[in-house]
Amino acid sequence: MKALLSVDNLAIEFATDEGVIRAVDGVSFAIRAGQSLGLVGESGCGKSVTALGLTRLIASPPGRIVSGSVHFDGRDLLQINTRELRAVRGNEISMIFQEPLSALSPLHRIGRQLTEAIGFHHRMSKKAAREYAVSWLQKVGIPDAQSRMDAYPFQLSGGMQQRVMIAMALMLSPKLVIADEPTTALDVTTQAQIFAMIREMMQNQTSLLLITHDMGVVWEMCDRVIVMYASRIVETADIETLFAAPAHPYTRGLMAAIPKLAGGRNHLTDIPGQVPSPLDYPAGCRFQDRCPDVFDRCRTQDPALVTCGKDHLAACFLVYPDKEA
Amino acid sequence: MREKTVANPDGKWDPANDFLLEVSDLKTWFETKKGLFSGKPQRIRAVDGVRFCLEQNQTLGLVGESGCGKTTLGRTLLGLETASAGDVRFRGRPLLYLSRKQMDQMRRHLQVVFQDPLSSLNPRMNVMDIITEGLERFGMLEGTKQEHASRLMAEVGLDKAMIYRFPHEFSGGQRQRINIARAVSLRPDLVICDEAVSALDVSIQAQVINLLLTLQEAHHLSYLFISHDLGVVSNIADQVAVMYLGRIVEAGTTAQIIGDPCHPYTQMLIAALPVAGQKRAESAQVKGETPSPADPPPGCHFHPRCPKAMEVCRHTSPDQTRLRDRTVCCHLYA
Repeated sequence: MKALLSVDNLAIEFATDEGVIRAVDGVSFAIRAGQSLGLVGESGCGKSVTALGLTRLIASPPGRIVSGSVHFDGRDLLQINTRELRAVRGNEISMIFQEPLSALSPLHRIGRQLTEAIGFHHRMSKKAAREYAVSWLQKVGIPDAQSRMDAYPFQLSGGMQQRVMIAMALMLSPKLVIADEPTTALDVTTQAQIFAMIREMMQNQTSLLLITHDMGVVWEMCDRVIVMYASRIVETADIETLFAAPAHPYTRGLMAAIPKLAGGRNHLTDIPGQVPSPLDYPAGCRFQDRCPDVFDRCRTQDPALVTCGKDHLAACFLVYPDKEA
Repeated sequence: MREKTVANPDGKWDPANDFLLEVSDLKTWFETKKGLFSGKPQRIRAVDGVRFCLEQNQTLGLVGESGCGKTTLGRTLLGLETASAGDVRFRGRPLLYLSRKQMDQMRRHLQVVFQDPLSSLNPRMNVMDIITEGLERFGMLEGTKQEHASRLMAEVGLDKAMIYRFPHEFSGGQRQRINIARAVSLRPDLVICDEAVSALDVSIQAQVINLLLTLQEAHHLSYLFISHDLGVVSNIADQVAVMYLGRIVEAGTTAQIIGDPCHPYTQMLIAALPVAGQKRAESAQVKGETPSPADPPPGCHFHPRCPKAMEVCRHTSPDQTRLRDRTVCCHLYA
């Protein structure tokens, strides 16, 4: 099946006072129609920058897309002009951000923000647009939707604000939704409701790129997972494979470090050390200093992503076919 | 929970027999003006009649969703909010309504680690000054400042070479280690951890949890560990108390609460946790949102969201019931 979105060798740099940081370094992946892909990693690994880069939402300067291509439904999003891009954003690709309050305009009523988005992409009378927006507020479970149209974002709870964001993201039937930590600021009970709703709304028609640091969330929402570490992809596999047989030592460490429900004091398996600074990545594998299985080759050579199973790739010399060499 | 003698009022405190911390019927209410012209003030019952005890070298995990009052409870114990009613005994002595001077003395034994490691460190002080400030204040320095600071840094897993660095030069996990070093420097009895690991990445979070456990074993610390994350709490706490809209709805040992939750709210919280590698039960339906603490529903605060709500729940607030070695506030068990 043809990919809806295919990202090839994307690299994004930022100029800082201390030097140039390569926040995304040669990232490639694809999403098929109806597929949901999770992009996981810890803060600073480049997952959010990757997502922003896809729709050219990186402020430039200081940011710069150095290389790569982003093919979406037959076009290269990095090459098309701004007008074409604006027709794609919000309409064919929509985004849900972590902080609904900073993503919504504080000065405009909910209704105006929703109908504005409809009017931008579709010819529709004001009245029809309003009715359409109300119907979506109802769909995402906002009680008393008609009167909530006249509310300002700050008058709603965090969960309700995120529901508005989701209505806004899904109401124009996009082909792809990019969600960047959509529930991190919410309580677990609200999170469970939001996920159930996103799943229902998407109904296998829409593709999802979900950016998160939470493996539990990926497990609930995604068919396929990409694990990023220090600006690069270190492993990618379908969800069952990744959880059953993680190949990269980082992925294994990450899974082991998640606190599982326990019955009292319990030392967790941690990953020693810390993520290297993007200004000073070591030569060779970037996980070498924290890796329990490190050996000489890791310190001199860069492991590339290699196939280690069906649709399963990892960037580690342990899974290299020639690892004895 | 083991029965202990209630500490005697003269202030003689025996760690082996008395509770370290006893909170009885604590209330912290806030008055807010509703609008500019409506004169009638609104009362927010952030903490509304909370009762629990904590022994030395034990950890109580306080869990609940945002707005449930868990942070206000911690801040009240620290003297950062004023209690409206109730009694708190710490080391056998009253902890509430202390004068500034009395509270200053108490702070030696009662420390805190907050969620945001950067904003709780003075940006103009280097690590050495930060972690020895309390020691100097109480005349507890052993050796030179450098020596004592180096020992503390080694204890919390920081490189001694970084002793003259400033907070902004550290990563989030390292900053939280600095906060922990400062908190344990005075060898306190109780450390209140308010979402202390919530802002950290998973791999770093596990490191910091392990550090807290190691320090507890080494110094017989007690923790009041406040967090919204049941997964984290279940790995660090001996006892768990679940809070909902200002009240503790269920409390018991961690194994009991996690393994066999009784209160429908606790059951809902546990069911809502996404567990990697495990398919969620279809029945794990969560409904509704936490009501505003300014306008809690009558009767049991949880009844509008409760799948097992009965008629009595709508008008009568449930009392605490003892049930199989735990306490639970629910009409199902009355």
